[in-house]
Amino acid sequence: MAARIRQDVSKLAQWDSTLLWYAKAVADMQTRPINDPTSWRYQAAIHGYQRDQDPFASDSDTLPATVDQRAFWSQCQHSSWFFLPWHRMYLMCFEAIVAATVVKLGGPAGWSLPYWNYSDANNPTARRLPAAFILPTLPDGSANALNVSARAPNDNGDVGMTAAEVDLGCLADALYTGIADGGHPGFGGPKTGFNHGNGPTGGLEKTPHGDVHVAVGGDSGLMSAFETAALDPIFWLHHANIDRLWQVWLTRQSSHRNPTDTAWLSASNAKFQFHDASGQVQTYVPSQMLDTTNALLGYQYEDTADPFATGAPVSVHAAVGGPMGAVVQQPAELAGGTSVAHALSNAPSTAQVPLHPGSTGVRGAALTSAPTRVYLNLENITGSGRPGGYGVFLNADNAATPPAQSDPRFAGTLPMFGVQAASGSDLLHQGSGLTYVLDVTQVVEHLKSANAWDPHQFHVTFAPLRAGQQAPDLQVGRISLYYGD
Amino acid sequence: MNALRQRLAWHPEWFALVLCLAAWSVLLAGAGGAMPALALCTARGVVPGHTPPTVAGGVLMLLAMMAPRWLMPLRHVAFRSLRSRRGRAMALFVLGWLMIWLLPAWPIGLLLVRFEAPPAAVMMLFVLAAVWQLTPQRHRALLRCHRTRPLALTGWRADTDCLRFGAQQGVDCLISCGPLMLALGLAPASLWAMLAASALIVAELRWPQFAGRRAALFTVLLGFATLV
Repeated sequence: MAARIRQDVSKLAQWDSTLLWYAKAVADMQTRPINDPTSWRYQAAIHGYQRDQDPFASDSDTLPATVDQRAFWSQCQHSSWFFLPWHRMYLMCFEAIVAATVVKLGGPAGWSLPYWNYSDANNPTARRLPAAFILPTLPDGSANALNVSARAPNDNGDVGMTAAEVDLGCLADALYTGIADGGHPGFGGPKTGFNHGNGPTGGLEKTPHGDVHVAVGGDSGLMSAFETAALDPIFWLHHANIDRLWQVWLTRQSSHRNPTDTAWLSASNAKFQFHDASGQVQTYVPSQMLDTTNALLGYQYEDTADPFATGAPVSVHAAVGGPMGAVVQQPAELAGGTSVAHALSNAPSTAQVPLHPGSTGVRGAALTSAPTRVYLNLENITGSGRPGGYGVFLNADNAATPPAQSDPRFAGTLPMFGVQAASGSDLLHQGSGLTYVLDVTQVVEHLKSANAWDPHQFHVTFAPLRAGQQAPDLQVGRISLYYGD
Repeated sequence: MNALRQRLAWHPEWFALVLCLAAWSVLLAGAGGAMPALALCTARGVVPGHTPPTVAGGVLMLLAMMAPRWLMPLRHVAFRSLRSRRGRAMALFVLGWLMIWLLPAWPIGLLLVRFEAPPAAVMMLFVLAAVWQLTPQRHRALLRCHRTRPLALTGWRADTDCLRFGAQQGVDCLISCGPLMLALGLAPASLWAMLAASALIVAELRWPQFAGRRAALFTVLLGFATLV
């Protein structure tokens, strides 16, 4: 049987049957009790659940048994090489449940989840929420379940997402699995066991994944936190796009490969269980998720063409950063860093970062090859609530009014998606916070060529991406610079 | 040789395995030199008038059993420290961790040499350790063993950060593994039991699905085995 097509939502008519049936299915799923594995709330709780953050919590709720909550809820994998395969499993099961609901409601078989390609440089409205997600009613006048109010303020779907937040520079990363020790965390993330979100984050997961979550959710919306993100119907189209970008990365270069480690393929130190459309418990492993057209997954994307192939930059940042090297010869080397935490706020702030006198970009005595890249590490970022994202600049002239994101001193964005969850110590988290790694090689080269690089220190400016965003206790534990491959 | 250097460059945390192997070598060598160490573990192995437990003996036992548990945090300390102070940073981490364990271990060790626990009491302690392994509080402590913290680069702040990180890990380790170690301490002297307990501790960290019920069952069986 031919694989189903997951379509680009921007190519669909406002109320294309795919979207209309999605809206109807969501409304139907929302009537099911929270302890029903095919209910809207149960499906969202799989990603994350905290009772005190549940906007639909009611005394009449009958929650699943504690043992089931532990086995099936709050399972999303983040800051991990399991991020991509786990979310593929998640979407597969969700799509099957929606498709079954569509059939139950009298619709056609084979419903497929569309994707939201917010990075499409050929579509001037790509970053706007699709119309079906902001209209208050369906064509028949009934309430539209795809439209939720708990999002960032938007002007006809425009939440003010910047090009940097949907940048596709991660597609140039050479390796899926990165390293967790100061160097590049890889396209897909570092090797971990079961990880609900602590530690360094892979390239795709940071941008555009994390940025879009925070941009759409704002400082109080559903999309901004692990525990509520999947309650917003746009979540699933967002993750379909992330899933698609995994395929785009694989196909754009023959050298781009998934991990071959048994620990990844068989998830030997983790266990991923879901309910299928009939409510049966299934256990999946990443090795089953490698080919979207296989019998289990059965879909392909409308467009997985290489966005870089046109020759035009896919974002203003095509020339910034650069690909992680295809060969990581040696561990990255710490060259400098702060000694106290740096607090982030709703105004631009700057931190001075001293560089160690002995670090000249050459590795230690045992390692003779010169490093090729420079990595800025933002370590152990902790905070509460749903803080917005930040733009990062190196050696900006005026800290109070940072330059535009098109400036060559712009190093990238820091989305704070999941910071509260990562900061706490509970049954799922260690409390280490988030760690982000930005490739600042070309920024540093630019500064050197402009005689604006001091070998003894540099400064980092954090500029809130949106005015008035809240950050009551957000801080970066350490800002450090590493030389690596 | 170059390949070995490459391998070691990627794994500075193997310093813990070196400590572990060295400690086990001393223990397995047996004879009087090892007895003080084993005396810290058990009262059963005590002969009248024997040497009381020593700090050195306690450190030896902890190094042998617990050093593999330091692999992940030592890796963090190593790669998040300047290369020039990497060895110092790792040593301070180990010191911070040891201080936390030796604080309660020393008075308990002195107590152990004065009486012999009946087998029923020993088995009860293993059962309590197994029950503890099933609790959410213990699970949280075990998860915190994967926690990292930012480390200053130089100066006294860098030293205290490493010490504090070691102590923090030591506290979480004490909470998660203390009951098992206490039961083992009162059980008859047994190097293989120490080895089994050490393997259990490492397995729970590396394979989280082993923690909980499987680990609790293993603990109960270990208790039976030490008394047989």
